[in-house]
Amino acid sequence: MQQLLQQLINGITIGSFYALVALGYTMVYGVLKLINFAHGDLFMWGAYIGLTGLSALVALMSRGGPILILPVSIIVIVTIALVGVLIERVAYRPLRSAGRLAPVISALGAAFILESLARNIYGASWKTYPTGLVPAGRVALVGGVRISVMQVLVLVVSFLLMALLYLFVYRTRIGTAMRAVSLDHEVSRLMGIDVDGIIATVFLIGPGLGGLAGMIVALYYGSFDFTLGWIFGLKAFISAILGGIGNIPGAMLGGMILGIIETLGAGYVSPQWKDVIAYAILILILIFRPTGLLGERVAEKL
Amino acid sequence: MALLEIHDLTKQFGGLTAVDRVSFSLDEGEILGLIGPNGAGKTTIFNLITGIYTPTYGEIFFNGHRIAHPPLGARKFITPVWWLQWVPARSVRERWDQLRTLRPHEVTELGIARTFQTIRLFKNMTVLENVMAGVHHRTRAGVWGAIFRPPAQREEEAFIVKEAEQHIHFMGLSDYRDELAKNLPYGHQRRLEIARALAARPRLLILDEPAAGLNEQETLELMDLIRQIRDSGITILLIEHDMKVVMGICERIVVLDYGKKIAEGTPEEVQRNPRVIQAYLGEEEV
Amino acid sequence: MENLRARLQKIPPLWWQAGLLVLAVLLPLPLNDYYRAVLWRTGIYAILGLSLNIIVGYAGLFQLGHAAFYALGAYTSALLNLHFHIPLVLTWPISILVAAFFGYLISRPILHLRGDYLCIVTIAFGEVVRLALVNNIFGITGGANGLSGIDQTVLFGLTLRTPLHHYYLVLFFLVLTLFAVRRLENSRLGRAWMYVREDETAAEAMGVDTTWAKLLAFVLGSGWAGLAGALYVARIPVVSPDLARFIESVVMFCIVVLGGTGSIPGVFVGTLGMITLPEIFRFLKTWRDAWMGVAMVAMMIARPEGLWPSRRIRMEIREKE
Repeated sequence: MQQLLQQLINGITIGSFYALVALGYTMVYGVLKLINFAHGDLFMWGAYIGLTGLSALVALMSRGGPILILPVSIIVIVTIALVGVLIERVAYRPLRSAGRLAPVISALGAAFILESLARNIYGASWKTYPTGLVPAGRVALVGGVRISVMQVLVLVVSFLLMALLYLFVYRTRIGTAMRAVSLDHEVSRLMGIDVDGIIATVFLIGPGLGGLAGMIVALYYGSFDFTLGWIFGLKAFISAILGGIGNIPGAMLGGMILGIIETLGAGYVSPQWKDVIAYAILILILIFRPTGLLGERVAEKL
Repeated sequence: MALLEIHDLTKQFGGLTAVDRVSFSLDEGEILGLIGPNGAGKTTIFNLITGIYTPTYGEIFFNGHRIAHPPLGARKFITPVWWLQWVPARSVRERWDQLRTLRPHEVTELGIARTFQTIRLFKNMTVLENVMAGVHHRTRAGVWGAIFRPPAQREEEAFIVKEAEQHIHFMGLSDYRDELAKNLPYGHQRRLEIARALAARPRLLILDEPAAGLNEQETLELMDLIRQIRDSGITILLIEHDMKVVMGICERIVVLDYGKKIAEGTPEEVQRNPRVIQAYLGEEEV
Repeated sequence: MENLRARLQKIPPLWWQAGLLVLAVLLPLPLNDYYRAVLWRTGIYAILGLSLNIIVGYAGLFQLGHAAFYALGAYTSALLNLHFHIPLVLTWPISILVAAFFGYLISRPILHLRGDYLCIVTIAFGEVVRLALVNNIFGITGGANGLSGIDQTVLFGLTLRTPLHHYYLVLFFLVLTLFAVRRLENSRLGRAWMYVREDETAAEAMGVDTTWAKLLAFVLGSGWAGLAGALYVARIPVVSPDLARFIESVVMFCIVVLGGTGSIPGVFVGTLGMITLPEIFRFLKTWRDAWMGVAMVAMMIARPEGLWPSRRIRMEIREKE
C-alpha cells in the first residue's frame, strides 16, 4: 500500500510533465490540425537553455538557491516561445493550404534541425544541471509516504500553470477566439478574428510552456541528453492522444494517466518495458478509440 | 420479390436523427426517385445502402442478401460468432457474412453501383483508367499476375480495357478516352461518373443528383440516357432536385422530410399529396 | 531537371536502361574499396526506398517505421544462421517472409487510420520493435549489443569477401526490384493503389477492396525491406537494434519523399542526397540530421512534389494548393 502510494506520487509528478508538454501538442493540433513534431525538440531546447542560464548564473553569483530559477525560467519561456513562433512563420505558415502531408514533413524537418543543432552545439554527452538549486530534503506524509521538496515544487508549478491556461482558454476573449479558430478558420476570419494572430499566440504559449517544462524536467532528473526531446515528445504526444487531441483538459488528464500507468508498469512489471507499455497504449487507443478519452466522436462528412 | 428492400432504416449522428424509420422497396426494372428538401436524409440513405455508414437500426436487403443491419456492438465479443470470419469452412463463413454489414466494395460486388453528389472522379487519371476502376471487382489479377504477367493476366488486362471502352462509347466519351478526368467539361464529368458506375455491371444503379449543374440540353440528354440504362435491364434509384427530371422519368417517388418518409407513390399522387406540398413543393413554389 | 527528363524521354527506354545498367556494373571498377562500400550502401538504401515507395508512394500510406522491417529481416537472417547454421543465402527468403508476416500483423488493425494518425502508429510500432530487440526479447536478440559472429555469404560455392562482390549482389537484387516495381505500377493492383490514393471513398464504391490493396502494399513493402536487411547481414556480420532506430525510418521516408513520392527515379535521387553524398562529404555526415531537416522544410515549401516526381503525383500535389 505504501509502495503503491509512493508510486502514485511519482507517477503524478511525471504525468504533470507529460501534461505540460502535451498541452503544446494539443493546442497546435486544435488550431492547425497539425502534429507539431518540433514541439518535443523545443522542449529539449528549454532544458539546454535552462542549463546555460543556470550554470552562468551560478558561476556569476557563486552560489545556488531556488531564487535563481525564476529569472532563468523567464528567459527560457521567452526564448522558446520566440523560436516556436519563428518555426510557425517559416515552416508551417507557407504550407497552410497545402494538404496534410506537406506540413507533417515540414514539422519533422524542423524537429531534425532543432535536434541536430542541439547535438552539434552542446555535444552528444549527458549534461548535468548545477546542484543545490533546490533543497534535497524529503517531507514525510501520512502512511510513511515521502515526497521530495523537488516534487512539491514541480507539482505546484505545473498545476498552477495548467489552471492558468485553463482559465485563459475558457475565460478570456483571446481564449474564446482560439477555440473558435480551432473549429473553423474561415468562419472565424469572417467573424473578425485575426486567425494568423491567434495561431501565433498558440505558438507562443505552447512552446513557452513546453520550454519551461523542459527546464523543470532537467532540474528534476538532474541530467539529460539530446534524446530527451524525442522520448518526452512522443510520450507527451501519446498523452494528448489519450485525452483526445485538440482537447485541453484531455491533455492534462491524458498526461496524468500515462504518467501513473508508466510508473506502475515500471514498478510492477519491468522498468525496461515501460516505454513499450506507453506505445502499446497509444496503438490500442488509435485502433479502438481514436478520439481519445474526452474527445468527441465526429461523423465524417462525405 | 423486390430487388431492394429497406426496413425501418434509422441513422443517428450523435443526437441528430438523419434517417428515421424509413421503409420502402424497389422492384427490378424500376426507376424510383428519392426526393425531399435539403437535409432530409437522402444522401444518408445512399450511404447506408452502399455500406459507407452502418445503420443505427433497421435492415437493408438486396436481392435476398442482408447487406446492412445495426452493429452488433459489444455483443459481438460475447456472442460466440465474431470468430467465425476466420473459420475456413465456406458455409460457416457465409453465416458470418449474414451477421455483419457489408463493406462498400462488397456491396458493389453484389451489384449496386453509385455516383456521388459532388463528383468524385479519380481526377488525375485518364477517362479510360477511371472507367477501368469499375471493371476492377470482376477481375482477379494480384501480385503474381502483375509481376510475372502470365497469359491469363494479359487476357484479363485486355478484357478490362475492352469493357471500359465499351462503356465510354455508350456514354459518348470516346473522343476523350485518354484525357485526364479533371480536364473534362463538367457535364462530361457527370457522364464519366455514370460510365464508371456502369462498368461495374450493376443490377441497381444509384444516382445522387445526376442533373445538378447541367444545362437544359444536357439534362434532356441525361434523362434519355437514364431511360436507356433502365431499358438495358438496370434498376435505378435516384436523388434529384430538378423536378422536371424526377417527374419526367421516375415511375415511383419516395418523399422524405426531416429523415422521415412522408409520402410514396406515382409522380401524380405525390404532386397531389398535401403533406408533400406543404413540406417541399410549397416551399419551392413549383 | 525538366529539360533533362524531356531529353531522356526521347531516347528509347531500352537503350538508356541498358546504358544505366552497364554504367552501374562498370562504376565501381576504378574506385577504391571505400567508395565501393558507399555504392553498396547506396544500393541497399535504394532497395529500401523502392520498397517504402510501394507503401508511401503507390498506396499513399504514411509509414514512418520502415526500419523495423529492415531490422527484422536482418535479425531473422542472423538468428537462423547463428542457431541453425543455415547458409545465409537460404535465409533470404525466410527473412522476406518474416518481415512480410510482421508487416501483415502490424498493418492489419491500423489500415483504417488516415494520414498523420497512421504516421504516429507506425512510429510507435517501429519503437516497439526496437525496444523489444534492445530488451533481448525471448533471450535471443542479444540486447543492445546485438548479435555477432555470423558466417560469410557463400553463393554457388563462391565466398563473397570484398565490397565489390557485395556490390554486385545488391545490384542484382536492385535490378530485380526495379523490374518488379515497374510491373506492379502498371497492373491491376497498381491501378487499385492509385484509386485508393486519389479517392478512397470512390475507390471503395467502385468495388475496389481498399483493405486488400493497402494490405498488399504494406506486406510487399515490408517483405522487401526484410530482404534489404538480409543483404545487409550478408556483408556486415553484426546486427544491432540500431538498425531499427527512428532516424533510419526517417532517412528512408526522406528518400521517398524528397526524390518525389511514387517516382522510381525519385527514389534514386533521394538515395543520392540522403546516403551517397553524406558518405562522400563527411561534413554532411555530422550535420546530416540538420541537412535532412532543412531539405525537408525547404522542399515542402518550394517543391512539394519532390526533385524527380512522377507526373501524376505532381498533379495531385499541385492540385491541393
